[in-house]
Amino acid sequence: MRKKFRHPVTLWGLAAVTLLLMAFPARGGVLLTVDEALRLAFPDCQITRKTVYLTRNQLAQAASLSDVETRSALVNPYVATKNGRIVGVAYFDVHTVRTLTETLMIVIDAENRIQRIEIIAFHEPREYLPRPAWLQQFAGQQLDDELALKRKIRNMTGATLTARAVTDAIRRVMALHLTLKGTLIP
Amino acid sequence: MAFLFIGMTGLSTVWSACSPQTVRQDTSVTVERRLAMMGTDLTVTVEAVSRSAALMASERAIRALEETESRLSTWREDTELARFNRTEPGQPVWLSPRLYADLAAARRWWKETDGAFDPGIGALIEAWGLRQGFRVPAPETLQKALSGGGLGNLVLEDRKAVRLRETMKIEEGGFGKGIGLDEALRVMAGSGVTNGKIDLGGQVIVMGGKPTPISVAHPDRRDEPVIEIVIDQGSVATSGNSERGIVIDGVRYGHILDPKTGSPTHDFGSLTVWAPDATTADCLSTGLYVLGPDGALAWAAGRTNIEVLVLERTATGLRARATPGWKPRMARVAKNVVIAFGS
Repeated sequence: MRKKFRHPVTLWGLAAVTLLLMAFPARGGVLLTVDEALRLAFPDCQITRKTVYLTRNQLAQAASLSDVETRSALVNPYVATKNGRIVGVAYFDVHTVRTLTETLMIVIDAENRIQRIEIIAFHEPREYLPRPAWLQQFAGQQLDDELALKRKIRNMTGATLTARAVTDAIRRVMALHLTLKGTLIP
Repeated sequence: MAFLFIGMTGLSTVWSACSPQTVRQDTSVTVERRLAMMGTDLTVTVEAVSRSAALMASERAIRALEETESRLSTWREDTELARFNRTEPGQPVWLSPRLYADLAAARRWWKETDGAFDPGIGALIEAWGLRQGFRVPAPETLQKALSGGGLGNLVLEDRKAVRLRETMKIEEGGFGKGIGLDEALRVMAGSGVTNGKIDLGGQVIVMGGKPTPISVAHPDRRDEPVIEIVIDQGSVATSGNSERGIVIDGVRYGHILDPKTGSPTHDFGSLTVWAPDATTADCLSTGLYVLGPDGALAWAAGRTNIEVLVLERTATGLRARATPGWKPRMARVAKNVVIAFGS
């Protein structure tokens, strides 16, 4: 179940990058590789890539917490530790914005709060990118019913699809994290 | 043969993964990062001698902004500024050298603008409910928030600070981004970085001398560029109400408050400032907006190293008035804009 993620290239790392990129159309838009994003977010940390197959009960729990479809039972959290303590857990969520994909790295800290949201790939035209004064609404938030559009999270004028895609991605990731948290401690 | 072709396609996909968004020009490499930061979104573009140098420099900039946010944000309870805002009025408290310097910089522009830029109006911001949406406060609520607020009721001396009144609460919205950008650029410099641009929610700072075009948007439609300016150093900040204005009972209110009246300023359009550093540009874009178009241009007329662009709504479109220093580096990109240089 558990595999070490080693820098710079391992079979797992290569597979992750390849899978990530195979989901993208040929045109550009990749800002960082998975490896780069992790190394920058967690300097001097040990990063362990986990492969988790959610049970039916865990899938149901995640869906219930997020109110968003969990598309796959296979999840790959990256757990960063330093001196034996968890610094954060990163998830990569690939989702469709309009017709093309976006990949977000969402880092959750040891208190289950969002620590960093970084766009590592975006293939729609730039006007669909999340806009100023919007993304940061998620920073420091915990998952609850209010972490949703038209509640704590304002919509993005003229870019509802982007707002929906990002909000869903963050809810999905936080729900998965809460479901798996107990199993992620190395 | 077909298998070989698919294999090669796969390899080329992996190969393209190894150089994401990389533009090679001679020996330099450009990296772009996009994150959420300080209540807005952040784009860091770094050109350096190698991809690893560009990545490390961009990360240093991001960490500097995170550090600034963890010191200055009043959206959180645990920052040094938020704690200072809760200190007992009249009691001197030690500040970290960084926060002391931040507040001293803000106070400098408060003085220079004769109080038009005043970040000590946290109580007024609460009274108008600017963080929860908007509400028109009762006159007595407004009066209470107005009296005792403002940087006139902040004492800074010997690394210590005193809030003289309970209503003197510092709001970082008018200067925090600028301070973060200056620090980000400072830590990014060197280390093989040849050019850099950081855009934090529309405020931009550039380094390296490369001509960088920056769009100034229509005051009411932030996706519609109307003027393009080109800078090769320094910082550009714009203040305006954009999508944050609100109409209540037929009256249009903006979110920029006049520290002297305690009420929203006249919503004339937008005001853009260029300055050699981001803190100055940030403070002045707010302060000069409060002074209004004529007051802002008159203030800037006697200054060097400060450029101001005012965009005002007219019946037929927009009128742009700019200080003369903009002339060689400004162009109209929308038809219904008339540009005049000078005050």
